[in-house]
Amino acid sequence: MDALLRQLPQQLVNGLTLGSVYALIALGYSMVYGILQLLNFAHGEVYMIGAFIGWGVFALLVPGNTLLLPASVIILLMLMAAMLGCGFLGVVIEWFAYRPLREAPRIAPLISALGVSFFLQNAVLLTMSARYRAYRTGLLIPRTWGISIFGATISFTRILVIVVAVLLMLILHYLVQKTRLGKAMRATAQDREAAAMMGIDVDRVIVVTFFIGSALGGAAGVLVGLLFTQIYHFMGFTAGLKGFTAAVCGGIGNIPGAMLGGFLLGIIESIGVGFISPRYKDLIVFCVLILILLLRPRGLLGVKVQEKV
Amino acid sequence: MRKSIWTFVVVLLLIALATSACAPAPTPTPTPKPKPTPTLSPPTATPKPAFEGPIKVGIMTVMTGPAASVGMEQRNWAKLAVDQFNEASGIPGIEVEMVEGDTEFDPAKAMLVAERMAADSTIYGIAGPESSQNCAATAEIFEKASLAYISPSCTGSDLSEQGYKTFFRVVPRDDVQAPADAIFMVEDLGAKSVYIIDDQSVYSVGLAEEAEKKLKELGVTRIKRESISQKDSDFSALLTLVKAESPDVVFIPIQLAAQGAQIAKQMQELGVKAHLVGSDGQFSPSDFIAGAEGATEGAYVSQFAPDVHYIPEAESAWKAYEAQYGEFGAYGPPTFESMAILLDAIKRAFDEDGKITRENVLREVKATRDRLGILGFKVTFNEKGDATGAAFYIFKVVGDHFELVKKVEME
Repeated sequence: MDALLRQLPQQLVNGLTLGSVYALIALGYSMVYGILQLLNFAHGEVYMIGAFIGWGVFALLVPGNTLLLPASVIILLMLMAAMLGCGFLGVVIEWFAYRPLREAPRIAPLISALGVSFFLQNAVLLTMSARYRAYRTGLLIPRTWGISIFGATISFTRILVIVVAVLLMLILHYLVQKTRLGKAMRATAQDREAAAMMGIDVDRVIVVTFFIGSALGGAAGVLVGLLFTQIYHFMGFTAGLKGFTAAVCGGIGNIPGAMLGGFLLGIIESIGVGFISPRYKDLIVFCVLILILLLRPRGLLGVKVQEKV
Repeated sequence: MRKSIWTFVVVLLLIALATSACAPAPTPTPTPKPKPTPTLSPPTATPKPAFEGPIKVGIMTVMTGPAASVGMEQRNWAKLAVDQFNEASGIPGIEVEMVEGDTEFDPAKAMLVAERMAADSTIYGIAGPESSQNCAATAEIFEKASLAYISPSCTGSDLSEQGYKTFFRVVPRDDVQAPADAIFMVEDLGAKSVYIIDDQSVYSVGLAEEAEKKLKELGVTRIKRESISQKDSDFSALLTLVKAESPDVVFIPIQLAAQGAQIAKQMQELGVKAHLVGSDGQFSPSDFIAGAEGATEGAYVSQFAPDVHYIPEAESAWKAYEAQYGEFGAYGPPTFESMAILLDAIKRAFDEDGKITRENVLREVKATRDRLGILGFKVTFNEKGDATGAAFYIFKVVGDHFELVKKVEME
């Protein structure tokens, strides 16, 4: 038990980093669901594409082993390129796969989402081949950089991931709560028709929501690339599943809920591995999901929505 | 209007899918058993009866999903073998065609693919499947169809013990690999405690169990075992556990080299000081060495095939491969060997009988004797289908390549 307790700080750090990534992915699911009541299952793939865009920028700016720009600038450019690229990708997906089906029964856009997901996965498989691509994070941030607190090693990469993720979430929170655009988004989420009647350009709000959600997914892709360094065409599947689980845990459609769900999931996963067994990692995570849904069917921060007639 | 076009396209696609999925299965024509001496007069004297083909060979491996990188390398090497055979006009006037079957790393899918290949009577042999679980799943189907299949990477020991007549492989068995690794860890690395991490696949669990058994025999008492899944990319939680145990050796008999590289990186990040030893899945210069950015320096990997870069017979093949497809790991070259052996057998069957049947191809594959290919040893199949002379090689990561440190031959 003593040995187990001693690894607690390290497992918390591990869980926190993992959780911040899950949270970023969960936000994309939750925002889109909040506005359209649509489960955007292509979101995992958007995240994967983000990782590949970041990798492409890295390969461009680091030919061989020399950095053409300072490391911090490279990381910033990777993040920005991935966020922009994924944001536009999200908009295109919405326009192509969801808008024509907006008035269709709810199952239709769901199937369409799965189709987009398969399409993106296989498009990357065909163009990039099935090989794993490695983020050579070591060139940007030496692996041995880091600090030790309470026997836990926190590498600089982990700090960076957590800081960037939290920063993005704060910006999002500000955007949704304090700006006109955010107000429009919240109004659309509450009642699309009424919002339209009040003069809100609902289509534009939906487009912006897809853009932001997908951009966050893209950022998560780059951060995971920097942290776990191996990316491949299939990575969106598991990550998407975990992000979706986090969104559901926190209360799908609810933005702070998605963040909470993400962090919770990451920490439970790490602690579960440390104290129960690595073999049952996913089992533990999904048991917690079932438990939460049994106790609070709308998720931790979810509120009861009245069925519209 | 547009709607009707879409409906039409969808219907068309469905039809195409349905017909390809359930192609009529012609029962293989029962040909009489080939006699050892088919012609009485010397073959050069008799005019050959016309055989117009087509001649097809199959490649079965994983081409989509998380393990696709390994499988595509196998597929590309197999294609190279077929292309070279055709360029040298192996069978004059007839192009050998390669049929690809994606197993998706899933025994259920592999069986479907195998059924389809067995049903196509113009397929005369197969290179593959890629994994022990898929070799096991498809054995019965190939046996019934008398279809020879030569696996380039199934190392499961049981596979050649079931009495199947159509199974061959150019790689050694896990009952050599796991003990060889265990002996290496204890005798060469002086391990007193070992942490074994498997990835829950048949391959990985088999190796982990065999190694654990041998380690116990050798007197290692502190052995821990844990599992990861092939979809994982973060191992920091598990490695935090490993660190608490501070083992001498971390043994990773897992299939994906990218995961091995990530384990090495996170071991360094967390300060786990132990020798890292991997099995054949880790033998990939691009994933395990370049992808690890130095974290795997000094790690050991056992491999069922040598690094063909250092084998003179392989030079033209790997140069041609790199020119066309780029870098490669450990799984490709044995696939080339499998396919080349199969094509040789087809050629001999044709030269001898003037026609090609599954039975005479099977006979000729079985008759392969002392064939020196690109793996650096002479392939002869024993009655079980195992290649005698196949060996395990233990390599160490030095700089940007693997350096041979030990060779363990099959008995």
